[in-house]
Amino acid sequence: MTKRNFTLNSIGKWTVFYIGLICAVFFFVFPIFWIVTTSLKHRVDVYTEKPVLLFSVTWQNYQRIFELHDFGRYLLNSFIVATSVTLIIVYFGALAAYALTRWRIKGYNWVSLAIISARMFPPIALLPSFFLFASRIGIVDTRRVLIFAHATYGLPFIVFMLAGFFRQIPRDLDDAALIDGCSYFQLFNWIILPSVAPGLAATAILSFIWSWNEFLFALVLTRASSKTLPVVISEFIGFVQVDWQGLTAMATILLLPSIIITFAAQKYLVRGLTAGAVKG
Amino acid sequence: MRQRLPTISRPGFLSKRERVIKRSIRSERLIPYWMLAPLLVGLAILVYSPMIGTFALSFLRYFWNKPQQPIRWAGLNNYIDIFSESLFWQAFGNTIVFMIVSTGLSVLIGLGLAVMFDRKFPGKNVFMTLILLPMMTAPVAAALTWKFLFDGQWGAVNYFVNLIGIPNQAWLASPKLALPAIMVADIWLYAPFVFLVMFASLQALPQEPMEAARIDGGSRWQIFTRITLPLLVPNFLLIIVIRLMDTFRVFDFIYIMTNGGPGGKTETIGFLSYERTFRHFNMGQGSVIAIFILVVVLLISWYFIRILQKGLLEQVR
Amino acid sequence: MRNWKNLIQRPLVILGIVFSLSILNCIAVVSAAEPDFSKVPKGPKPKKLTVVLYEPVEQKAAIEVSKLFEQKFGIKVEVNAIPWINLHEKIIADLTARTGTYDVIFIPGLWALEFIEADFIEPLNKYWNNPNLPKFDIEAYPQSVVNLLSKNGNIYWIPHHGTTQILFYRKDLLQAEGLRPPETYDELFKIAAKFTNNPKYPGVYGFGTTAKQGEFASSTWSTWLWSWGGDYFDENWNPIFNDATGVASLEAYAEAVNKFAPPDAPNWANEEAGAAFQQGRLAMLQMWPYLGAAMEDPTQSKVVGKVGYAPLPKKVLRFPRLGSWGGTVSKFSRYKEWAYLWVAFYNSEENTDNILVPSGVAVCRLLTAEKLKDKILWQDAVNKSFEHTKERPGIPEITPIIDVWGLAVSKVVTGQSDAKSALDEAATKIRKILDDAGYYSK
Repeated sequence: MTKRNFTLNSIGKWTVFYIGLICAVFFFVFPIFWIVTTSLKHRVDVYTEKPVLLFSVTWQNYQRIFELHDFGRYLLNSFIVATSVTLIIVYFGALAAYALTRWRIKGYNWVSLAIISARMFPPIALLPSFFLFASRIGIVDTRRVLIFAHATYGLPFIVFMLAGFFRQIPRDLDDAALIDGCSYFQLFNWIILPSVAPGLAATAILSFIWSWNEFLFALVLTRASSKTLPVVISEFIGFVQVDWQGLTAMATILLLPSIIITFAAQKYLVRGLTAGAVKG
Repeated sequence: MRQRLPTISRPGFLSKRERVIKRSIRSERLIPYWMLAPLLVGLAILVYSPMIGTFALSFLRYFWNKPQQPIRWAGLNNYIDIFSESLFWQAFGNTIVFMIVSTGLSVLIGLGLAVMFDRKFPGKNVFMTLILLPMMTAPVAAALTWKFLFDGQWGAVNYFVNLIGIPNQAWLASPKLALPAIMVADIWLYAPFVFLVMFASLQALPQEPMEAARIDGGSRWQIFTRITLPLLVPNFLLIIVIRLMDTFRVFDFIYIMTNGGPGGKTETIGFLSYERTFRHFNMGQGSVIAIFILVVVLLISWYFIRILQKGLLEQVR
Repeated sequence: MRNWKNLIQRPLVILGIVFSLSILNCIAVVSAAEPDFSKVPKGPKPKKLTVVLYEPVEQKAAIEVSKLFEQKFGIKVEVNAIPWINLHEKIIADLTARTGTYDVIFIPGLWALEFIEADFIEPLNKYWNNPNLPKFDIEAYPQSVVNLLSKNGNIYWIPHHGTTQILFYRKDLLQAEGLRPPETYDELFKIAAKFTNNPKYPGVYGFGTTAKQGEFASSTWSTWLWSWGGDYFDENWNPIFNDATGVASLEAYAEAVNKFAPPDAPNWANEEAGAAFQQGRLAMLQMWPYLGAAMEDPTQSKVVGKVGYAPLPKKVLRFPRLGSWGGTVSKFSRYKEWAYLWVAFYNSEENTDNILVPSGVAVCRLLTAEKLKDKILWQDAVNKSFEHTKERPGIPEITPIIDVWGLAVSKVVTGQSDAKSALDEAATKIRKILDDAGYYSK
C-alpha cells in the first residue's frame, strides 16, 4: 500500500481523517446498534426521548418470538430458500457466463439483450401475471416457487459479474482438457469452475444476502407455510401496535447469517468485485 | 455457426484446436445453447411472458377483485387516465428527485470512503467491516428501523440533531423533510455497497500512470481528478446505473415509512404502481405504470447495456 | 322402568314435561343458545385449517381458541396474522387465484360488497340452517353490524368485533383542572387548548388522532364529517363530502391536529397515536377501544388506571365511525363445513367471554357487552356511541376511494392545500372512479 500517492504525514491530518471516518462509521453503525440493543430492552426503555444506553437486559423478546410465531419454520424456510438460490445462481450463472464468453452465439445480440434487460424489469410488473400462473399450476406458497423466482431474477446480474472472471482464464486450459477427452460439461465442472473460485465466492455471498433479505417476491408468492423472515418481520407492523422489541429481535437474527458469511469471506468479496468489474 | 472457429489473433491456437473441432462439430454447436438454456427458460417464464402479459393488461379493463365483471378492451384509456392524473406526475417528480439525490449522494459517499480506505491505517479492517454492516440488512428491517429513528417523539435522530443545536423535527410528518428522510435511509442501506465496489476498483487500478504523473510533479488533486477518476469511470458507470435503476423504482421504504404521505409528498412511481396493482387491483392502470417504469429504466440503462454487450463480445472476437 | 312407562302414559305429565322443556328453551333462547358442537360435519376431516386475520389482538384470541378447537375436534388450525397494509392484497390475490389457502377469513365490514359480489365468500346461514351442523344464533349480535355483510337475505359473517371510535382521556389531568370529558367539539377544543403548551404539564399535548395518509386519515375524519352532519354521498352516489359541512369538518379536523397534536401526528397510524397516549403525552385521544387493553397493561403503559373512556363529543350529532370485523368462510376452501364449525366455535358464548374479551377483542355480542359492562372499562362509552354509528359505504370500489380521501385529508392537515380545493379535487377523482364502475349510467 506504500504505492499510494496520499501519504499522511502530520498528526493534524490524521486527526481530521479519523474524525471523518468515525462520523461515517457512526452513521452506518448506529441503526444496527439500535436494532441489537432494542431487541434486548423492555418496552419502557424503548419509548424514551433520549437513547437509553444503560438498561436492564432481557431475553424475553427472543423467547417470545420463538413461541408466538412458529419462528423455527420461517427460519428454516429462509435458510433453505437462500441456500438453494445461492447454489443455483452460482452454478447456472457460471454456466451461462461461460457460454457467453467462450462461444460466438448466433443471435448473440438478442440473447445478451434478453439477459441484461431482465435485470431492468421492475418486479412489480412481473408479479401479477407470474402469481396467476404459479397459482394455476398450484405452486404458490411453496419454497420451490420462491427459489425459482429469486434465482431467475438474481441470475442476470451475476452472469455479468462472472463474465469478467471467465475472461481471465486462458483458453488453452479448455483445449488441453478437451484433448484429454473431457466432455464440455466435465470440463466446466471440474476445470473451469474451480479456477474461478474467488469470483464464485463473491457471487455466492451477494446471492445469499440478496435472497435472504428479499421482500417483494416473498410477500406476494408466499402465504402461510413457506413464508420467509423478511415477510414475517413486516407483519410486526400490526394495525394496533408495532412490537419494536420483537421486530428488532427478529431483525438481529436475520442479520447474523449474512454477517457471519460476509466476514468469513470478506477478502473474496473485494477480490471478486475487482476481477468482475466491468471494463468499458 | 462457423464463428466457433478460434480467432486468428492468437497464434498457436489453431493447430491445437483443429483436432478438437473434428470430434463432433455438429453436437458441439449446441453446447453453448444448452448451457444458456436454464437461464433463458427461467427468464422466459418469470420475466418475459409476464412482461407480455403486463403489456396486454395495460390495454384492458380488468380488476382482480371484480371477477363478476367481464374483462373489457380499454384501448388507450388506462394510459390516458394515468397520464392525466396529477398524482402520477407528482409521484414522477418525487421519484426523479429521489433518484438523483439518492444516487448522487451514495456515489459521493461511497467514493469518499473508498479514497479514505485506499491507504494503510490502524484498524482498517474493523472500520471496513463496520461500514459494510448495512449491506447485510434486509431492506424491510432497515425501513422499519429508520421509521423509528425518525420518529418525532422517540426517535434518536432528533436527539442527535438537538446536540448540534437544531430543534426537534417531525421528520416523516413534514412535507419538506419526509422525502429527504427516506433518502437518508436509502443512502444508509446502499452506500456501503457502492463503497465496496469502488474500493475494489480502486485496488484493481494499475499504478503506473499515477506514479508517472507524480514523478512529473502533478499535485495529488490533479492526479486524482485527471488520472484516477477517469480510470474509475467504467466501474462508476456500472454502479451508478444500478443505483439509478433501483432508486427509480423505490418501493420498500415508502411502503413502510410513510405510505406516500404526507399529502403525497413521498409518493413515488414504484409505490404508485404497487398501489394500483396490489391494493386497488386495477390491473390495467397498474400495468401502465409498470410499463412506464420499464421504459424509463431502459432509457437510463441503454448506454450501459450496449457497453455490457460490447464487453462480452470483445471476449469472443 | 315400570314407573317411567307409567309416568309417560299419563297425558298430564307429558304436558307438564313439554311445558317445562319449552320454558327451558325460552330461557336458553334469551341467553342465546350455545351451538351444539356434538354435530360435526360428515365430510372428510381436514388435516389442518388455515385462518387469516389482521392483528395481534385477534391473533392472540384465535390462537387460544384454536388450541381448544384442536383438543375438541382433533384438527390443527394455523392462524395467520397479517398487518392492515397488506391484508387486503393477500386475501384478494389468494381468492382471485382460487388457491383455497385460507379457509376462514376475517374481514372488516368495509369490504362487504367487494367480497359478496365477487362471490368470494359463503353465506353462513346455509350452514347454521343445516340441521346436521351446529346452529348458530346470529341474533346474539347487533342487527346493524350483522347487516353490513348481508345481501338478499343471506348473511355472510359472524361479526364478533363491532365497536365505535371513542375518546380516551386522562382522568387525572382533567380532574386536576376540574374538567369533565367534552360533550361537544367546542368543549374538546377548549380542553385541548388548556393542555397544549401548558408549562404546568410539560410535554403534554391536548389532543391526538391518526392522520397518516391513507386509511388512517380517512378513518378518523369520517367521524368528524358525520358528527358535523355531513355525509359522503347522496342517494345517487353523487359526492357531497365537499359541501360546506364537509369542508367545515375537515377544517376543524386539521385545526385540531395542527394546534393540539404533536408535530409528528400527520404521520400517525394507530400505533404511534396509541404509543403517545400510553407514554402520557396526550390529554385526549380519538381511538378504537381495543387499544384500551394496551393502556391498562403495566408492562407497556405509563398511564395505567389514569385513563377515562368517554363517547366522542357531538357537533350536530354524536356520530363516531363503526369498526367491525367478522369471520367468513372462503368459497374456495376445501373444508367449508369445518371452517364454519371453527367460526361458530370461535364465537361461542363461552369462548367469547373467556378468551375474546380478556385478550382485548372489542366484542359486540349483545349479552357479553351487557354482562361484562363493568369489567370492560370502555364498554359503557361504546354502548352510548352505538346510537348513531356507521361505516363508509362498503362498495367494491372503496379501497381506491379511501386512498383519495386519505390523500386529501393528509394534504389539508399538512397545509399543502385548503380544505375546499382538496375535497373538490377528491370529489372529481371519486366521481371518475364511480363513473368508470357504472354508478351513474343506470
